[in-house]
Parts: sequence; C-alpha cells; structure tokens
Amino acid sequence: MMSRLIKRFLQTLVSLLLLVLFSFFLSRVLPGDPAKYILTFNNSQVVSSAEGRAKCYEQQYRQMGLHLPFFYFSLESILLPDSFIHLPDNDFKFLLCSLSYYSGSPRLSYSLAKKIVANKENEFLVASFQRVGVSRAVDDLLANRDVTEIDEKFLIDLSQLKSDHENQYWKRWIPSIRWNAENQFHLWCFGGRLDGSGFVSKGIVRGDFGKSWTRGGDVFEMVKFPFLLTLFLSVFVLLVTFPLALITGGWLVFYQRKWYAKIQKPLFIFTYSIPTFWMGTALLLFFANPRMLDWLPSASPVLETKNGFGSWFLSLVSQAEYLIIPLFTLGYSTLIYLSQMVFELLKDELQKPYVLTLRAVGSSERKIIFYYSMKNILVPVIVSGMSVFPLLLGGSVIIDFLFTMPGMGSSMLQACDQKDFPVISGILFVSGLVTMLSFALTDLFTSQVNPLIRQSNFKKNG
Amino acid sequence: MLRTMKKINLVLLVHLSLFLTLSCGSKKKVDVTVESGNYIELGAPSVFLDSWSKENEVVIHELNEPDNLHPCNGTSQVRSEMFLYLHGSLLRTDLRSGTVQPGICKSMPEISKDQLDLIFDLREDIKWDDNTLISPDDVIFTVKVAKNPGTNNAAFKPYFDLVEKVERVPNSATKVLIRMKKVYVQNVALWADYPIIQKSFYDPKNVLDQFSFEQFNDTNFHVDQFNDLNEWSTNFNSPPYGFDAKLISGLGPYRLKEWQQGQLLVFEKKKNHWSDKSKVYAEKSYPNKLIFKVNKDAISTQLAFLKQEFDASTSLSSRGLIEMKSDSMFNQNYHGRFVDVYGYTFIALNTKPELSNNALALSELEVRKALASLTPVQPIIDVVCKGVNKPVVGPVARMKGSYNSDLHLILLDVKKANEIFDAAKWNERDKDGVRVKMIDGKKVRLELELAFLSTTPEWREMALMIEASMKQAGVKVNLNMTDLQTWLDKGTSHHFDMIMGSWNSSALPEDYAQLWATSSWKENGLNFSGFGNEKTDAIIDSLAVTMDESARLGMEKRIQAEIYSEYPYIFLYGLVRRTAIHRRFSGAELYGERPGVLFNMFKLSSIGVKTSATP
Repeated sequence: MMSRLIKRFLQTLVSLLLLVLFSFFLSRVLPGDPAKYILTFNNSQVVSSAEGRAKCYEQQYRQMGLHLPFFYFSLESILLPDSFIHLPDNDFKFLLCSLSYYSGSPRLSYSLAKKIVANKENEFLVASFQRVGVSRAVDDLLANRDVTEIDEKFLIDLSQLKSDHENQYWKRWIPSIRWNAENQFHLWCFGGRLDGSGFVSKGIVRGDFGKSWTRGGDVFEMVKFPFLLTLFLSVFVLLVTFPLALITGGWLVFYQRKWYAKIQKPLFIFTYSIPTFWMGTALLLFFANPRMLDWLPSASPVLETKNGFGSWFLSLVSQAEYLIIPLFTLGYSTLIYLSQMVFELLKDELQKPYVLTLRAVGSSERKIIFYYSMKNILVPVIVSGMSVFPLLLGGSVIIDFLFTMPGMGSSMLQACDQKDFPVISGILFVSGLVTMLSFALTDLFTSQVNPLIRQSNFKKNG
Repeated sequence: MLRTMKKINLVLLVHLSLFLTLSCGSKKKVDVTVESGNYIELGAPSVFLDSWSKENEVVIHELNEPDNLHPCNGTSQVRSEMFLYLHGSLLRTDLRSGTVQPGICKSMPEISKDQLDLIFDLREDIKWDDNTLISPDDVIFTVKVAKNPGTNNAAFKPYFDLVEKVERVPNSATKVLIRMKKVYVQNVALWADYPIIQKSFYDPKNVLDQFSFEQFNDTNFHVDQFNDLNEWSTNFNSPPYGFDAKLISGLGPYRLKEWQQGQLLVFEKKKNHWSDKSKVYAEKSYPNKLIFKVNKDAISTQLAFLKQEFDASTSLSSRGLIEMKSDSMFNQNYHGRFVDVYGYTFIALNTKPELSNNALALSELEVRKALASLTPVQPIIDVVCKGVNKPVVGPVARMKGSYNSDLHLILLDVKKANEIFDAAKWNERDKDGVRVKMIDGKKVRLELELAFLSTTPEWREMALMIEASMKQAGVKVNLNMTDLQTWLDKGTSHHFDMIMGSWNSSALPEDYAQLWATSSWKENGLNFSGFGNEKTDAIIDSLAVTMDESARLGMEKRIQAEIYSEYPYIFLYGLVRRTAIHRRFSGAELYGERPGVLFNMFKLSSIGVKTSATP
C-alpha cells in the first residue's frame, strides 16, 4: 500500500509540474495584449495624445512584467544582442531589427520603432516604406521628431547589430537558445521583485498567486469564494447523484420487466440530450415564473464574503432555495449518465455464474442486486463518477452565466475577457489541482474498495 | 435500426413540443412608441397593490458593474452614472433641460472677456461627511490630482491639459478661479459632473500643496524624482481607493455601503445630508438605499421583473422589453417606455485603404455610395430592433436643433446600387459572382470585411442581414466578430474595411474633432474612416471655439452635409433607451440625456406608505 501511495504521490507531482506549465502558458497564449486591454479599458487609447499613449503603454507594459521573456530559455537569432530580450514587445523587436538593418542610424531607428509600435502605425508605415524606400521614409519621418532617450549600452548593441547585419547577414537565420534568468514564469512561480514598478510576489509555490491586473486585489482573495461556491456545487452534485444513481440503476434492473422500467431508455436519452443551457432556461421558465409555477427564485443568492468563510457558508445555506435550479441543471446529466451506467453494469453482472449460485441457494433478487452485484460494479462507477468531476467544474461557466452565480465560471469569463493573466493562471491552477487530487483520492479509494486491486498490491509488496 | 429511428423521432417530438409549450404565449399588440423630449414624467400611482413592496429602496438592474469607483481613475459608463449619487460637482448636466446648470456653485461661472478665466462661487450650504464646509482648496486639490502626472487617469488627462491653473480668488472664502489655456467650446461643460474630492480626506499630509500647476504643466516633470509625490500617487492609485467603501468619499447624498463583486452594490443614504434642505429637484434623495444588481441573462432578468425583484432598468433589450410589455402582469407593475437618446449606430468605411493595405475599392466614392444603398437599414430596424428605432442621416440626433433635416435617408435599393457599380466600371464578375475591377493593373475583388462587436447577439444578426443584402449586388462580405479591444484597435489603427458600432453623444454642444477631424485620423483617434479635408477641418476648428448657438447652427448643418456627401459612414439608426420602472414610486422621470433616469428621485408612493389597496 505504501509503495502505491508513494507512486501515486510522484505521479501527482509530475502532473502538478505539467499543470503549472500548462496554466501559465495557456493564459499567455490568449490573443490580445493585456497592457493594451487595460489602457483601452481605461479609455486612454482613445482620447489621449499619441505621445501620451506611448508613454502610458510602456509604463503599463513594464508594470505588468510583460517586458520579460516568457520562460527560462528562448529561441532567438544569433545576431540579436542580449539587450534585445528586454525590449517591450515582439512587434517592437521585429520592427527595430528591420529598421536597423536598413536605416543609417540605430538611435533614430530605436526612436522611430518605439513611436511606430506605440502608435499602432505599423501597417501605415510599412506601406509607406514599400513606396518610398525604408531609408528615405525613416529620414522623412524623423526629420521633425524628438529622439527618444536611449541607453548607451543598448545603442552599442544596436550599432553592432547593424554592422553584423551588413557583414554577416547569414547569422540572421541561425537560431540560438538563450538562457533568461529573469522571466515571467519564474516570477509567477517563485516570486520576485520588478524594479521600478512596485511589483513584489512570493510566487505560487508560497501560495501567492499575484495580483489581478484589472482590480489590483490578491488573486487568491478574488477567486477564493467563487471557487468555493463552484466546488461546493460540484461536490454536492456528486454526493447526491452518486447514491441516487446506484438506487435508480438498481431499481431499474430490479423492475426491468415492468413497463415503467422499459420506457426509461428513451426517457433517459431525451433528458440527457437536452443541452444544459436549455434545461436551465426551461427550469427557470417552469419553476421560477409567476405565469407558471412560482416556487423558486430566478436570481442567484447574494453571498456574504466580507466576514470570512463562516458567514459566507451561512449565507449560502440560508439561501438554499436559490441553489435548487442551478444544482438540478448542473446534476441531471450526471445522474442520468451514472444511472444508465449502473443499469448496464448490473445487467451484465446478473449474467455471471455466481449470481446463478446465489439464486440457487435462495438469496433474494433484491439482495443479489443491491448487495452482491452492486459491490462488484462500484469501482467502475466510482471512477466514472470522479471523471465527471472536471466536467462539473467546467459546467459552472454555464450555470454562472444563466443564474448570475458568483462562481468560478463567471470569474474565469471576466478574467479572459479582460486578459487578466494572473487570475486566469490562478483559476486554471487551482481547478486543475483539485481535479488531480480528486483522481488521486479515487485511485486510493478504489484500491480499498476492490479486493482484486488490494490483493495485487499485496502480492507485489509481498 | 427502425427502433433507433423511432426513439430519435420520439426525442425530437418531445423536444419540439416542449419548445412550443415554452415559446408560445399570448401575442398581444405591444405599444412601441418611442418618446422624445428632454424629460417625461411618469406620474404617481392611483392605487398601491398588495403585491408591491413597501421598502423605501430601489433595486436597479445593471448589465455590468463599474470598473471601479475611484474618483479619478476609471472610465466605465456605469461608474460615471453611479457618481451622480456619490459625488458632487461644480456644475451638473440638468437632465430636464439638457443644459449645464450650477452644481455646488451658486451660479454659472463668471467668464472673463478673453473667455479663459472661469470664476466659480461655491455654495455655503455644501458640507463634507465630516461636517466641514467645502472650500476653494478642495477644487484646487481636485484639479491638481487630475493633472498630477502620477495619477493614473490617462483618459481624463487631455481634458485637464486644457487647464492652466486654479487658484483662490483674493478676499473671498468661496470663489475659485480656473484659468484655461485656450478658448474651447467645452471649457465650461468640462466641469459638469466631474467629482470634486475632499483635500483633507485624500491628502491629509498636504503633499500636493508642495507642487504647483506650473510643474504639472511642464512635460519634463517626472514624478519619480519626488519621493513624497510618488508615494502619494502610488497610494492614491491603489485598488482600495476604487473598491473599499471606507476609502470612497464624496459630496453626494449616498455612500457605498457594500460591494459584492460581480453581484451587487449597495448605496446607503447619508443622514442629515446637506441636500436634505436643497430645493433643486436633482439633489433630492428619497430612497434609503439604492441597490444595483448585476444580471446579464435576458431570461432570468425578465423573470425577475415579473416577480418584481427589480424596481428599475435602463439596460433592457428592445426584444426583452417588448416581450415583457406583452404581459399584463408586467404592465400592472411597471412603466415600460422607449425613449430617444443622443446616439446612433453606424458602419464606418475605410476611405483611405491604400495606406493600411485594406480593400482598395472603398477609396472610391461611388463604391461607398452603392454600399449605402445596399445596406438594409429599415429591414434591420424591423427585424432586429422590432421596429422601435428610427433611421438617421448623420451624426446628430433628431432631437437636436442642429439636426440637418434637408438631408434625405438613403433607402435600400439594390437596382440603384447595381447601376452605380456598373457606372463605376465594377461590371465584371468573378466565377462566384463577386464584382471585380482592374486597378493599377491588378484585379481587385469587391470583397470586404465587416468587423462588429461580440457584446450582444443583435450585432451579429445585423451583420448577417448586411452580408445577405450586399451579396445580391456582387459584394462579398466577410464577417468578423471582435471584442471591444480588437474593435477599437482595428478602428484606431485603420486596419479594417467596414466596422460597425455605435457612438453615444449628449445634449451639450458637440465637439466634432474627435470623430471627424483629420488630426484624429493621423493620431489614431476615433476618426476611423479617414474622413476630412482642409475645408471640413476649418469648419470643425471654428465649431470648437464658437460659443454662439445661432452661429454654430449653420456650421453644424454644413459639416453634416459634408459628411453626408462623402459617405465615410453608413448611418443606421438612432439609439433608443429601453426603460422599465416600478409603478410603486412617484416622481420618476425619464430623460433623453444619460443616464436616462435619476433613481434618487424615486419617491415611494405616499398611498403605499399609509395604506394598501386592491385594484
């Protein structure tokens, strides 16, 4: 048993590592630039002057740590100096390289590239370059503009780049792997400090998920209650549907020759095929509608979050009637899926020789189904039940939207909409972690329930 | 096989009957009259039904919560609407008349002959929550905060760049002088509804006193060089000042009591507030609480209205309000009204596509003209807007005196569009029926992208109708649904062919520069289409400095005519506000100006307080 535990722990650890990488990169590959989003969100992209926008953008970009490379290593052209790694964004880097190759002045190229990217004029200027030639376009455009301040070290690198480009053009196509001690992933995982931006984090390894880029609050504090609500709903659905599915499946097998057991299949197919969103809407229209049956509320509960978990839980319980329709919407398909599974497994189980023996010795049909056969089918049902768990967590997006529940789904949707990477990464990480833990627990539980698994472990250890 | 088919049929049949059961209802003729005018009184109820709540609070339906409630840093529309209850301002937009009126001042500002100095005389009855009187120092502080380069209010900086300095008027305890840098039509309107904040609350150590307006006007001034200011700015910009009820303080009659993220905000009425004695209608505050509840789902919102869980909404869809108005239960409990507002929907056409590698065809005026004739404006209004909205000819709302009624609506006319295309030598077609033309030796297809917002399903419905209509004349439209950021990026970077959206305006004098000046196009502002020339810029510049209404009128009509003749936009329809307000209140009024309703004026009907009756 111990070796199984250790093995499972190590497997979970590897999965956890993959999860950390996955959560980080998935949040980062979302389309759109979060710095631009925040500035757009604050309307500054619209009304302020071009110079003001450029300044705001760079400040925002650095504050968010987006100027750092993604990961510990990156693939770049061998021609590119190290100082380029810290350039604001890829558009800028690309443009600067292109300009440096063609223009006579690195200083001017830097200044121009900065203005072009900040002003989002790329398309316009590229077209202009094509028409009049890059060098002339650069000279024309810079004729009356101030030159942006530039670091001398960077200037040397830029000059070197130009000279390398002229003398060793082939180097441009040779890739090199670069080591980035300071990077976004390290900052997120292990924490650190960003000079000049006031950003300080302990990293997720110390339980610090960072701060939300849009609301500024602690990510953990922001997603704590939404996550608890989703977890509560998912666990509740599982705890209720699991025994209910065993009873329903067993009952259907027991009465399988009766007419009402015979119509269960088309009825199950019908109900199972109703999309969750539609079911939720239909339930609302039937049971929360003064024109039909005005039994239940249509809105979501207002949960108290200011005074900690206790008051949150009390407010949730005291408004239990608000949860009936969401819980049913979330759980009906799981119940049908598991009931049907129990029904089919039990039917197969009843064909086995030991059942014939049991019948021969006079065991009642009820006892055979609900005791002997049920025990034998528990493992696959538990495994299937737990595999539904991530689906339940995912299903919360629909539930949250439809019933305006303050759950993880609505937090995730909002964060994706606002390109709030720390919140997205945090939610992905926590929900993944819970799913992984649930699988690990299932594994341990099934090994306890199934004598065959226990025996095989015993033999291996022996 | 047959058995499986039977099962599938049964499933389909039951689904269909369930759908029909849920979707069928009594189809009544609903009054969708759109009311116009500066304000509409809803009157008091003649009876107070037993089912009506007697709580003296207003529960307001919102689609979104504000980005924050920081007094300076934030720009969402909901936030500025909520500020009407939390803050006071030098001037206020008078919703009844659609004009600017004194707020916390005794009268409108005295304006110097050069039109650059504005002298505001503060009222002597206005007090902060700590019972101290408002002083010119608070106004000076407010403007200093807005101008401080360390304050994270990029959206408002350009407006405050217009201010040179603010100072006390010598020998007066109530007068404050604001010196503007240049004459501008909105120099006075700038001070309407901008919250004045308390110096002693936000800057108890008087950090900003150490800095002058001259320093903040200097572009080389860097906050990083001053530790005190840097520290103060960082603290002031921090999220608690936008979310924490204890750190949000203003002159308004309500204070933020509770904010459950994503769910609701509760505003509580202040006791013994200065506005209790005010005679100004907009300063009255009757409800004890204003509760803003977020609900994005249309069905649960409608059910909540049927169950009287909401008292008011200005965020309903036309379809939603029409459906609710067809229900007698809703009509018994609510006023459901459609009101014209200052705004319109449009399709901007990229008139300078050669500079952004976009569809070259749009640089031709004839093509733009034909596209306008191919746009099914009236069918869109009938199908998507349920006949509620009205078509518009230009960027000025019908309600305004400056609306150019000489311009005629462009009607859907496929035949005319075909003739225009043929005359413009777009008469050849590709194999798929799309028109083509040789431009500079290259074959150009009449294939355009139409970008639109993903915020509501109505945009998609409209885009599909436009796509189908344009296809009839050999124009291929590729639809591109985008989020707000991408939409703005596309527009401001001019990287689009056609972009559909809407602009909101107000009853106040229009500043045409943002949308129509060539400088706004060059600087990646809101002139998406590239409209403009020296002549139109001259009119816009004149409008920016002309205060005289009669002089403005002619110029405004001329600029509308110029826009009309150049087809930079295809104008679709004017915006309409869909409002539902519970009948248990008296005193409710509807306005054309934003936010459309003042919830502080909702007075629980006196018959509801004293007795209850059954109709």
